[in-house]
Amino acid sequence: MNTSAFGRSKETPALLSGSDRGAPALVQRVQRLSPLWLALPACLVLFIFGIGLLDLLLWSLRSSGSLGAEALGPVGLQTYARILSDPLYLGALGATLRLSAVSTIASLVLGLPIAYWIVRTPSARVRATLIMLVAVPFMTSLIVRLYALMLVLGNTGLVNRVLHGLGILPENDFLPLIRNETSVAIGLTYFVLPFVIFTLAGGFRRFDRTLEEAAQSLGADEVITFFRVTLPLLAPGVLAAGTLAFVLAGTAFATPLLLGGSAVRMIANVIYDQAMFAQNLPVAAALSAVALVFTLSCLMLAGRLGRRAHA
Amino acid sequence: MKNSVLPSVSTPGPVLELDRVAIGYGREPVVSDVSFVVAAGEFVTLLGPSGSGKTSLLRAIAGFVPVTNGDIRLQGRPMAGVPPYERDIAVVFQNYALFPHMTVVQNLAFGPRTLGLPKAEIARRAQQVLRQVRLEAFGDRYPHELSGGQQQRVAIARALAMQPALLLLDEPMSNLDARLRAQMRIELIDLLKSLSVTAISVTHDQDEALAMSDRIVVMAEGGVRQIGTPGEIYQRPIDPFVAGFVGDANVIRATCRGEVHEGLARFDTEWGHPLHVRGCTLRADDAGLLLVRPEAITLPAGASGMPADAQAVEPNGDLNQLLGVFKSRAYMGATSEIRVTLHGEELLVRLPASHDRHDLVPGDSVCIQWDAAAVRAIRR
Repeated sequence: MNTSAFGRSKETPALLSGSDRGAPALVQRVQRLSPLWLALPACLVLFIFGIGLLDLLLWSLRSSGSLGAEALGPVGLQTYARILSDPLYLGALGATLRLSAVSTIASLVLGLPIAYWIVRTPSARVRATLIMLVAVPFMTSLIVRLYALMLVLGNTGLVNRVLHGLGILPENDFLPLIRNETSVAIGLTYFVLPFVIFTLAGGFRRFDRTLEEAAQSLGADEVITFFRVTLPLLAPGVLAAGTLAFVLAGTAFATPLLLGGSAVRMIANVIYDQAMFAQNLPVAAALSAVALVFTLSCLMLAGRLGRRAHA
Repeated sequence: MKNSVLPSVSTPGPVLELDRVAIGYGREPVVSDVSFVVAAGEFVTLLGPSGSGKTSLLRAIAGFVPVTNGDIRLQGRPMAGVPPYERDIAVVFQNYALFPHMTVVQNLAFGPRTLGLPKAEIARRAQQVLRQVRLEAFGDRYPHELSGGQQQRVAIARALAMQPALLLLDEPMSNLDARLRAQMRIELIDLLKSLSVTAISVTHDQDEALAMSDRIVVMAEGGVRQIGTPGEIYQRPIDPFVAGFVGDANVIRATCRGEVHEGLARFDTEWGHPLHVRGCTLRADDAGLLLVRPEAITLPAGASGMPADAQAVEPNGDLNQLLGVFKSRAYMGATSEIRVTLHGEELLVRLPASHDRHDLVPGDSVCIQWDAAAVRAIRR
């Protein structure tokens, strides 16, 4: 940039010249700086996040201490050894894996046909309606949606009342759909479904339908076309949606808290309890680190599989 | 599988017959009453502007679009209700539609594999077509690692690997740049002719149609306007649309006054100027349109034979003469395109650049001439 173009020429925008003689000098000085300075805000943000994570890891290496206090005890892996041998924490990890897997599979099974329908419907009105039906709950507060789900799944909720009304269940009996893993699985599926549908729809939209026509003109019937062309090309999208669902479900906090109550503890809930109530920050930090490592390995595995599918 | 459904008998009849074919989406017919026949080894081009129904027709032949009326017969067999994968037809798509998750060789082997051929034969066919399009060194590449021209070759090779009775090409050259396009026209035709492939191509590019086709089917508004060899279409267009779409044409409104000499008819333009036309089928007092190709017009040099009075120029036997006003010149390299105004109408003259009249400046009056045999008279 030609710095002399600024200065006091008549074309200079009022914002830069005006009566303030310091402004052009400032502009010149900023222009002389290396463009690397533009990365400064991003570096600051990353630095703060990095410090936070590092602090968390340091906490996980101590044996006791509470939020806002000093970390105590020797530095070592004793806290990790403790959580990986305690059935309470292992149970929470197991429940997290189990519930994430169930809700991932359920959301893919439900999401695939809906995403396919959204992308392939010839009617713009049907498409708009479907997108709205997915997007409205997506943009509604999760807490509101979870309370709504409690009203549906509760012992005197919609499902049980319909079953009573139809005479399928006797009056004094009810289907236990609340405060158990079933309700949490339903809630998690409901929570991740919009993410899954939108991710899948994005993948489907990129799929070029003339590839299917090409396969058919090359003698492949519908079944061969699906397995040799459509499925391999949609697989990366399905993988991405599945990974997203698994990671989102695995880190869920409000859903197990509201729908599972004290009966279902997922890893985020245990971390919260340990940090806020048990005043045991090292355990909370170690559990967080385990969860973080787990999430990162999921993403890496998905990335590797995705690359292979694309190769 | 294609082989079991269609025994590959070398039928002596036409490869493809279209009999009053109509195609419609919903209520609106996009193609109606199209009939033509494609003989073995022929390269036929469907030429027309966008919306003329040529692509719909191609898709109907391939089996992607149902025919609402009439018949499509491939090697004598009616194609109604036959899915694309059971038709002995291969398609080269406009965007090539190469499978992105397969290497070039895997793309080429896709068709032979669905035919249920033995493994050795599949590999042999893939290598054979790879050689035919001169891409031996690229067999292990993925489509996205190839240039546009190479991708097009793979698309052609993949279709040829099917050894289909009929090859369909949807705007095959449209994604190539101008230089490559001209080169690929020649290469593709040489390849198809050497393999005696019967092919139908769709294009809106008249140069491509003229250069490649054995016959051209000119389409407009969902119907066939004219079918003929490139020479017939260019020299004897049936109407002003065909004349204007295939090459450039000057159209002059005139009325037939009957024969003045053996084979020579006299026409009077709307402003009363006499013109001679050879080989005219119009009768006296028929209102007609005279089509003159820009390259058939000459501007005789100097003042030789240039009469003083513009209105007095008469046709001299086979030589038509008119006086116009020079308007503009566009230098095109090999040719010069000159515009001359003639009683308010603009006439395009295309001269070899070496015959350009550099002495002319806009506003000059200029004598223009053309041969009576270079004019095509059609009924208005």
